Amino acid sequence: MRKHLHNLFVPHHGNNHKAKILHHDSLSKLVLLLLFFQVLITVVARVKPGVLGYASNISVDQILNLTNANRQSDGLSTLSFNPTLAQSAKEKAQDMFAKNYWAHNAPDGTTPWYFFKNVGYNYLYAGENLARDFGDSDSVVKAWMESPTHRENIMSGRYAEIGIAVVNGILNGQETTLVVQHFGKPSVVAATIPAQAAISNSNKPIVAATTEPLVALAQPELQSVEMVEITPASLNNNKLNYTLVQESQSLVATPAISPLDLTKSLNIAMSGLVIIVLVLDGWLIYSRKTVRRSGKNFIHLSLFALVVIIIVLTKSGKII
Amino acid sequence: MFFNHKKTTKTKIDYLFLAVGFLATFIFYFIFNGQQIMQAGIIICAGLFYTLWGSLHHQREGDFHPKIAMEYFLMASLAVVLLLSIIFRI
Repeated sequence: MRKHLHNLFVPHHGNNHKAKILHHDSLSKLVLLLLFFQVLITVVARVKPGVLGYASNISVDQILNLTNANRQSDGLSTLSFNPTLAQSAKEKAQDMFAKNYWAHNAPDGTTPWYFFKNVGYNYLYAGENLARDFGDSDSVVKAWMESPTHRENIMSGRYAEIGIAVVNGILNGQETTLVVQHFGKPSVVAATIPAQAAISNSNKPIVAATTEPLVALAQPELQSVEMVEITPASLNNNKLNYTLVQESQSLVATPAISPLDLTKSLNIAMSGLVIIVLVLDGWLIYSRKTVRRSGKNFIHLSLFALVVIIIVLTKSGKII
Repeated sequence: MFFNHKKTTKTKIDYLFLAVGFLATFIFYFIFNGQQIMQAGIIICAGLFYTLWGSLHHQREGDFHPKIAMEYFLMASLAVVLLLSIIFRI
C-alpha cells in the first residue's frame, strides 16, 4: 500500500522519475473517473427524484419590488401586478414541469403566448423572462438585469402589467425552483387605436414581446407574505410533481443535496489532488536536479489554479 | 549571454501570451454567466489553446516531443471536464 502510494505521488526511477498520477494513462483514468461521477449523479437524480436539488428562498413580492425598483431608478413607471398574468406565468411553469423542458417554447411547439391567451389576457405587447435554481430573489433579478434581452423586458416602457410565478418541482430528476415573469400591456388600446396595433405587429419576441388584442384587468391587493416549506419528503408525498406559490408567498425549498455543490466539492478535491502532486513532483525533481523531458509543472499548476478559482466563483442559477 | 537573453525574452513572451489566454478565459466565462453553451464553448477553446500553447512553447524551447503535447492535451482535457461538469450542473 505504502509502496503503491509512493509510486503514485513521488517521482523515482521506478516510475520514470515522474509521479504515476501525472502519467498519461493515469490522467486518462482521472478524466474517466470524473465522467463516471457525473453519470452517477445523473442516475441518482433520476432514480431518487427530489434528493438532489437547489435550496432557494424566493418570494413573488420581492421579485415584483426589485423589478419595479429597477424601473423607477431609470425613471420608468412601475408595473401593476396582474393576477391573470400571474396565472399565465404559473401555467407556463406547470407546463415546463409537466412536459419536462426548460425553454420559452415547449417541445410540442407551444409558445409563451399560448399561456397569455389561455387565461384570457389579450395583449398589445407581451414578454416572458425565465429563471431557475437561484438561491434568492435578489440573485434572480440581478441575473436578468445583467442580460441585455431580459433587461429589455424589465425596463421596457411598452409594458404596463406583470404577473410572476415561483414554482417548485422536479425537472429532469432534480428539485428545481422556476421563476416566470410575464409582462403585458392589455390590448384595449389596440381596439381603439388600430395604428398602434399595426406598429406593435413588428415587435416579435426577443425572449419576449409579441402582439395581439384585448382586456385590461383589475389590480390585485398583495396579501401578507406566507412561507411555504418544501422538503424532498413532502415532495415525494405529493402526487403532483410541482408546488405552486401564490402571488405573495415566499418559497423555501430545502433539498437534501445540491448537485452543483456536490460536483463542486468533488471537482475541487480532484483539482486539489492534482495540484498537490504537481507541487510535490516539481519540488522533488528540482531539488534532486533530475533532468527529464516533460511538460512544465508550474504551467499545469497555473491551469488548475484557474480551474479552482472558476469552480469556487461559479454560482447556481440559469436564465433564458 | 546574448543567446540566453534572447531565450529568456522568448519564454517571457510565451508566458505573457498564456497569461492573456487565461485572463480572457476567466473574463469571458463570467461575461456569459448563465449561458451554458457559450461558457462550454469558451472552456473547450481554452483547452485547445492550452494544448497548442504547450506544443508551440516546447517547440520554441527546443525540447518538443509528441509525449509532451499529449501531456498538455490530457491536462487540458482534465481541466475541461472539471469545468464542463460544473457548467452543466448550474
